[in-house]
Amino acid sequence: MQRNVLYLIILALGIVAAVSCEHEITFDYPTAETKVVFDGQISNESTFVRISHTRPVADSTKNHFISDAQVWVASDDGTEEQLYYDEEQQCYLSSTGLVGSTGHTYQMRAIVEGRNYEATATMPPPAPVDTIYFRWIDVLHQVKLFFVCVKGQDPLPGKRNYYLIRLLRGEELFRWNPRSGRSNTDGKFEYDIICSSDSETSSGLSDDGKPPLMDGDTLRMELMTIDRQCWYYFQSMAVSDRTTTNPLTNIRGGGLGVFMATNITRPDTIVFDKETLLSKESISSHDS
Amino acid sequence: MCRFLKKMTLRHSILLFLFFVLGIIPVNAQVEGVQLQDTLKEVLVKSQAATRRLNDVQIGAEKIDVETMSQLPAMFGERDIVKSIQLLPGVKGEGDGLGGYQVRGGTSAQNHILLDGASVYNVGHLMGLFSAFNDDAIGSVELFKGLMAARYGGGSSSVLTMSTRGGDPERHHLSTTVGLLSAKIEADGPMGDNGSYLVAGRTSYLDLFIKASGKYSNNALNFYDVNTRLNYKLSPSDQLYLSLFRGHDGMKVEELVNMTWSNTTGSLGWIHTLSPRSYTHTQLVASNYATDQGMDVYSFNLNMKGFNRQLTLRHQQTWTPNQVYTFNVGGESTLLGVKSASWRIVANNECEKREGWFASLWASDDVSLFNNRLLVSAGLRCEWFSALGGKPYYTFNEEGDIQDTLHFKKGTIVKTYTSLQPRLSLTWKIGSQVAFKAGYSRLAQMVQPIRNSTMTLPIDRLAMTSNYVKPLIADQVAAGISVMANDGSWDFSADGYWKKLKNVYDFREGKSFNSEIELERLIIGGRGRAYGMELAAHKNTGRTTGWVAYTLSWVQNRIDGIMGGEWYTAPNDRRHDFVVVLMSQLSPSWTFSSTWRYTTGQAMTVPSGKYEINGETRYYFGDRNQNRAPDYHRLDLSVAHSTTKGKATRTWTFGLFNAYCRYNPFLVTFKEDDTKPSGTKAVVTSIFGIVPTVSFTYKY
Repeated sequence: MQRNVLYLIILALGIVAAVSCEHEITFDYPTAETKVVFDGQISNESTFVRISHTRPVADSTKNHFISDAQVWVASDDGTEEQLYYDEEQQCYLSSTGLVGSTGHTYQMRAIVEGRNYEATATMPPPAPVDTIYFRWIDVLHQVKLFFVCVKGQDPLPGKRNYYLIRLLRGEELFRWNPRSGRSNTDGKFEYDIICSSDSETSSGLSDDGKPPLMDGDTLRMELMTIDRQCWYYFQSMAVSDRTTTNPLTNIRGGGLGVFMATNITRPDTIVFDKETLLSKESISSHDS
Repeated sequence: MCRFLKKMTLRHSILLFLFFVLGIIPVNAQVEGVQLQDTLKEVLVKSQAATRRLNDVQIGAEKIDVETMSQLPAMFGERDIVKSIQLLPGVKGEGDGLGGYQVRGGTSAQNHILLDGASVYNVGHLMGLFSAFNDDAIGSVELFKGLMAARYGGGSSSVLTMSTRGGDPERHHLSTTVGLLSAKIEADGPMGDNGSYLVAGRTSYLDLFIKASGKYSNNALNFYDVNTRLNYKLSPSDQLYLSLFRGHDGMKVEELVNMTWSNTTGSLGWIHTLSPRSYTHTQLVASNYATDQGMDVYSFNLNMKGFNRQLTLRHQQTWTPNQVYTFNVGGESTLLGVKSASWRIVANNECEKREGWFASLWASDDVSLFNNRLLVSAGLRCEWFSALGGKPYYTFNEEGDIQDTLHFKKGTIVKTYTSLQPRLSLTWKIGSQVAFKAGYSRLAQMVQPIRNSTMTLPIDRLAMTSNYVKPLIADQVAAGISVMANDGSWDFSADGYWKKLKNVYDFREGKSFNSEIELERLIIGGRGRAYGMELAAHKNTGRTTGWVAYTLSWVQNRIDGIMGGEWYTAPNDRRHDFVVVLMSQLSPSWTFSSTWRYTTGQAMTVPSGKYEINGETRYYFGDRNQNRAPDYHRLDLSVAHSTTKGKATRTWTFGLFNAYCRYNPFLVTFKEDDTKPSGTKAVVTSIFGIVPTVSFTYKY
């Protein structure tokens, strides 16, 4: 929200002066000690842990994976399994098809280059989805913004629920957004994920480096319920570029990243068709 | 000397006893030849400014010459008090177009601004493009950069006092100014035989352009402010005044965003002259700073409000028994109500609102010894702050989670803090051209605005001292020398300062202003320190006047959990700051002025590594604020032409803001770009290029 406010402030200042501009500068980026990064989850579908190194800013080679770590996942029911490294998927997987169960707490332990790391996460119940669709809004008669809207039911009505919403285009992550259900007093939620603007889809260029939403693009949503600590991780990640701080990890031992226990709900896929969408009236916020 | 001090102490003791215990004000002191300070009197000190810099006992006190300020280049044709303050040594702006200022390593949140004794917050219109103060209505402005007399308090970094100008008791005046984006009007004059009035108003008319645009007519960007001052002489020894101020800002983007923020203050004052050497000043002051931010985008519906309301009764007495001493004693009592936030997110309402009671007593003495060669200002201020019950208070664990909720009856004291604040300033003059100065002061701040950025924004949340939040305490020592040329045409000054702060609060890592309604869960306290040196040279006479100022400074913070608890460079650290101000009377009708500023780039944290997670490349941030944004420099020019016919004066003012179109950094962001060899690029966003301005002023 604050990021949006900041943009609006900049917009307001821009209206006044109409002379703002952007230009690129060079930096001598500092070099920090290499850190171990965890990207792991146990869900109702699967278990994986991906481990990599940080790299210098000037290094454009992505994904410095670590393949010689030892990784275990244990449940509060007393079971524990060591994961194996899968060369093809470049991550550590369960050989028994381990999946998580609602309400259980899981612990990940890892030994990476002689150092111990661990994290715990609790798996909330799944969130049923009622509907998912595109909608759009006209801002200042200049920008048409396209959203994906998802409506559903909080798994724990009356309590604060935590979500990570991921939109995938094909196999690639297109958009993600952490949400908190503290405002859903009636036990139902409704969330919008901003996807693209009209100008981006027309020009084929977007500000974040990812190709904008184009006609025929198919989007799949992963609606993930997560615990509060994981939500803090993604919420702080969402603002980390602005606050220039690292996300609040749940990894102990000096690592970066997150290990989450999540229930994933997958609503129907939706296909983007700009003309059809724009033929519908722009819905004002009060109509939602 | 000792005997002398004993006498002084006895007099002080008697005074304090009478004032504090019996509530009786001594009225029988009689010494001739002493001129009283009259706070109602308009203070324009152009000719005295240089002498004052030399003779003022307070090191780091800056009297702003309102007349000089009117000659400085004006942005959008609008003269600006706060932007003029930013040109003083040791004072910096927050950035292009932003109205806050930072003093001696402090943040703008650590300044206390008083208008006729009433607290004013967020002193910028349109996010700081304009100052909240109409210069036509302001009579005197004084900035204390951390060292000040015991009667001042409330800010841990600086105190800025302003008083509304009194109307002319002899004849009526009318003036109006039309600028590019705003217009203002001011009228003042006599009110009966014993009174005077002043009314000044200012409004933007950006909305007119927006409404006229047709398709943007559902948007708004506006501000207004109104100053009123009424003076009335009840008797030769009694004067009453009433000062009212209202400043309001609004921004609306269709049905999506609607933000307003405002300051409303009222001061009712009574100045009673007890004798030619003694007077009392009693004030009843009310102020209300309120914010209201609404955002309504599809399913995201947020309305967030906050306020800081104060009601103050203040009384002080100044007594100058002879040419050696000037005593000032006083006290004040303030009831505070602070709403750090209330918000409605979709259908859920949450609110955090608390009340507090603040009181202070002070006593000070300005002493002039050894034939005016040694000036001493010594004082003691004692402040009490009590957090009051009625709303929940909490205890927290190290992660900021609530451990226990505490309930107290409304009005009962939850916790009281006491702060003893010694104030001492010394000036030793050698002849009439050289003065050595030194001083020490302790200041406390009971309400701290907490912000995610280094900018003053209406989304700041206000942290009031509580069982968890402690008062921000600042200790400062400073020393310097002032030298004036024989004819007063030039003067030079060099000041050094060292300041330490404790209980400086900031957001915990990864937390933002709306992460939780309980503000204390989001913040963590630490320490700060700042030190530096200020050099200034003023040219005071001739057709061309002005000054050159250079500040060398360091600012560091130390907060548990950040950088392993080690000292790190604060985001408001700017190593070098250089200002040149020139004002020239080209002819009887033409004046020219210019300002140029160079400042080292803002300290910032840049990525020191990157990695992939969640399907994206993310940056790893190492040590805080070890890099710098690009340096800031800007030239502003202004030329004014005035013609006078009869009692009317017309002035056209033309200006160039950022004359050589330097795109100074407002924001630096990092983005992934596969076309770059490193895959990463840094992008600077600038707010202003060159901005031409014009305004027309008519005065009668």
